[in-house]
Amino acid sequence: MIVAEPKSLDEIKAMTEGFDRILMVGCGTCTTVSLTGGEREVNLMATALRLARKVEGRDIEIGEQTILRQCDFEYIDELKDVDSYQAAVSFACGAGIQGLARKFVGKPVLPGVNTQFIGFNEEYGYFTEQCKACGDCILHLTGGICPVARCAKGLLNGPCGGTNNGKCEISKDKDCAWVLIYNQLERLGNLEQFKKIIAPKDFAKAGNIRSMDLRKAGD
Amino acid sequence: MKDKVSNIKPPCIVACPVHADIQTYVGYIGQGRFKEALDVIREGCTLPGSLGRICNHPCESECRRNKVDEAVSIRSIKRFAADVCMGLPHPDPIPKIKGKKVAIIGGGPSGLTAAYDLAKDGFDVTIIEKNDACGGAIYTGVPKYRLPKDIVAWDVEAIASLGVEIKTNTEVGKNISFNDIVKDYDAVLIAIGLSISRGLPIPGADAEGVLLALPFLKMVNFDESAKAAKRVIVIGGGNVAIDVARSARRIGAEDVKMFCLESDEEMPASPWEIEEAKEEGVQMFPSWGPKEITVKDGKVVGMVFKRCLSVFENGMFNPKFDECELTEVETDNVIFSIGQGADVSGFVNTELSVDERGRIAFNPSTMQTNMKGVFACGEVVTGPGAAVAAMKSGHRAATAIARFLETGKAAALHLSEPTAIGQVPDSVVDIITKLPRTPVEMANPVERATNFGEVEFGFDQKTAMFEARRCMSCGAGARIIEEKCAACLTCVRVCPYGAPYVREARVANFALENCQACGICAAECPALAIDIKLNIDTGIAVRASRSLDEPFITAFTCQYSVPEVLNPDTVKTAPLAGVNQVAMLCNNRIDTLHILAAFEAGADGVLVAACPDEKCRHNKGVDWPKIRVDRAKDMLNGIGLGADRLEFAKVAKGSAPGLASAINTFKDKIKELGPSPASKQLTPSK
Repeated sequence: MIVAEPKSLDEIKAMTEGFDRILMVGCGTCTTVSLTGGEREVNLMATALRLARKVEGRDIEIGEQTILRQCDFEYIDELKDVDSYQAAVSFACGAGIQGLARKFVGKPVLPGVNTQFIGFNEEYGYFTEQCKACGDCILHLTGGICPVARCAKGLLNGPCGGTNNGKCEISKDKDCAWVLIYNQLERLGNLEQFKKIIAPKDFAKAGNIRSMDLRKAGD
Repeated sequence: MKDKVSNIKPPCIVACPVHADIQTYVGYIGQGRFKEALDVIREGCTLPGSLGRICNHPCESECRRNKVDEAVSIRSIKRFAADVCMGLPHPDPIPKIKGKKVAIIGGGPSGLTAAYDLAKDGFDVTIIEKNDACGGAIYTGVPKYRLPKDIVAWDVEAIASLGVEIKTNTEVGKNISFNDIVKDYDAVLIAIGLSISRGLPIPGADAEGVLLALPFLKMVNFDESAKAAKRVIVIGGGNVAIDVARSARRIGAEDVKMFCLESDEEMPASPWEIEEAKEEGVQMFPSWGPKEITVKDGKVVGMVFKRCLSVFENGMFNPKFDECELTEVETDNVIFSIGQGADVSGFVNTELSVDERGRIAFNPSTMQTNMKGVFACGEVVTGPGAAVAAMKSGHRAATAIARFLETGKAAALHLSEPTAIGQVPDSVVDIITKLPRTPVEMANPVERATNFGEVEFGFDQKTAMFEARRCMSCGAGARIIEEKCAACLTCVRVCPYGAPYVREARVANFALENCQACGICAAECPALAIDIKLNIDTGIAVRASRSLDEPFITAFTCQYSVPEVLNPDTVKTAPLAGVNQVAMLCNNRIDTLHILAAFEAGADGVLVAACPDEKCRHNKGVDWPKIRVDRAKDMLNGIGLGADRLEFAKVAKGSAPGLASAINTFKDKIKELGPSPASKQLTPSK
């Protein structure tokens, strides 16, 4: 899933400074699962913002709605009374925020969270990055462990000299991805693979302004 | 939300013949809401003072805590609810809006229960009672040391206060004719019980000194000069026989022996009754059958018994004896306590049918007798049993009569029966905090056997509340709202008891057997997709008016630990001035949202009073309330209210002074901080 972290109340206060009627929109998929953009967080942030405005001696009216996904227009269309709000705060990932912005024509759509990474839910409240969306997957060569996302240097042929008893030199809390890869290849009986040099990746595939058109396949 | 498990109930409720809402009233007692508890009790168990003393409490046998440590002392909690409310006014009369009159013949547990239900429904109910007061067997039969007469009277008064007319000393067939009753009322209910004791036609049974159980008990109950002979033999092994034996001890019998057909294990009396009788010096002789009574000069001098080899054959009563193994015992009195029959003498020469056992013939499905509009309930149709079972029959009869009076015909009742939640899994038993049952104090056996003072003492307030909080709130925990569930599995990760599990249909599901209603999952679910069924949350009060002198505090307290100080008046549940108490089922349910909502509702300060770590029954290594308070403190700083307005206090279980001082210290602090700048406008925006 796409993992996002909450924005601070201060930041949301500053973004919504000029408005007294806003809509906060939760996203029922990735950011709900990463505990930062679901109905609960929307409710919490809305209550906090209302209180903050009261402390300043003024009122703000906040609508709260959560839809299944903000990266699909059909779900965005389910939002009610959007015209009556001056602005919207989206608690979806960057894609969802932009999806909402395309529907909220002529009105500001503000980010309620900071989108972080494609990740994995290790345990309650703890998420780790697993994928850089490089566009050229080599997990079949590395025992199912991605060195692009999980090696601090993104080395395709590791480890580097900074590996230290299975940990990375940047932090003793972080595993060295290349030790993990070695151990897994050993378990798979495929240490031969470890000896092979992985060719440089075509990072052009991870370039900007990417799109994907599956319709071509049917041509 | 679709509640697929709506008819799955805690086993205590399922086991209770009247399905009293035990979980709710026990919960109320735990919170100090005593009057509300009593109101809930009465809906099922219409005689709470009496049944709080004498009920055979099948609820406790089925309590799921038995597998963890010991059952919750439900009966004693019920007794406490009644006793603590005895000074309060009885319920108000119910307007008789139905315009139909119902006569109930017999004011015992079943008749009184039907009267309660019908009066509550707005029918005009009259009880016709042959004795000088209502109560039936629990008035005339149950001895005072188990159930004082004023308690029965209090229970009856509460039913009378609904507007039920009670005609005492009125015996059908003697002071009033059955046919007249049928003519004068729109429906009639016969609830006369089994008021005749049976004897045995053995040689010597007509000798002087041979008595029957019910007349003996009546004498003991109402004749203060009653005296027993020195040596008494009681024939029978049921609870009535025990009552007879223990009463005989109290009126002077020094040597009381009970003989019964059944073996030690088969004796039908409740085990605790047998135990208490033994403590009082009653001797038990199981597996003996009466052969003959030895008589000299017309008086009993002894009795001969034959060995009883077995009592039942294929589930039917068919005793087998060894006629060669005999024993002769000297005695001055023999009291038969071997069974009861119905006194249907008031119905001779009427249309009413009586069955081959001498009981009123009726259709158990419609509760109607052979006469249209004449119904029957209680032991006169069901046979002998516990008072609470008679009440069940009374409830059924009331439902049947109400339908009859509304539709003009008797229809079959199809009352759905609940099914019980399964046992606590072994893996969960291991991690549930053990809380030993509070013993019920009893009078000293040597002393109590000399008088009719109550043998059992009730709980005091603190004990009752503590005992109530041992309830595991079975099945009252988490329910998933499927249409909101994001399948994030947060609940699966945070539950200490392994209740949520992943099932094929991708979302989490809850195992009712595991759930302990701690509320952790509901407070963490990012989609607000978990509902706690038994959320005894009294609601976050909105500040109605703004006084600048007195701070307005919202205090979240845990039902399992500390609320009683907020209810210093034991009955009225008056909150402390300026304190809005929100009694959560458990403080693990508190979420950051609750705290902010309290400030939005106008609180100047919020106190979260949690149990110390080692006392929290649900803390399995994570201090959830603290995590949520810390998040709220961060947000309060951002909001501009400041973290100082939120206090997290760990207060020892049941420590009233501890909580009171935490609240007062916090109040002083908030007074210094001044009113909340967010409560200037008192209308919360939506």
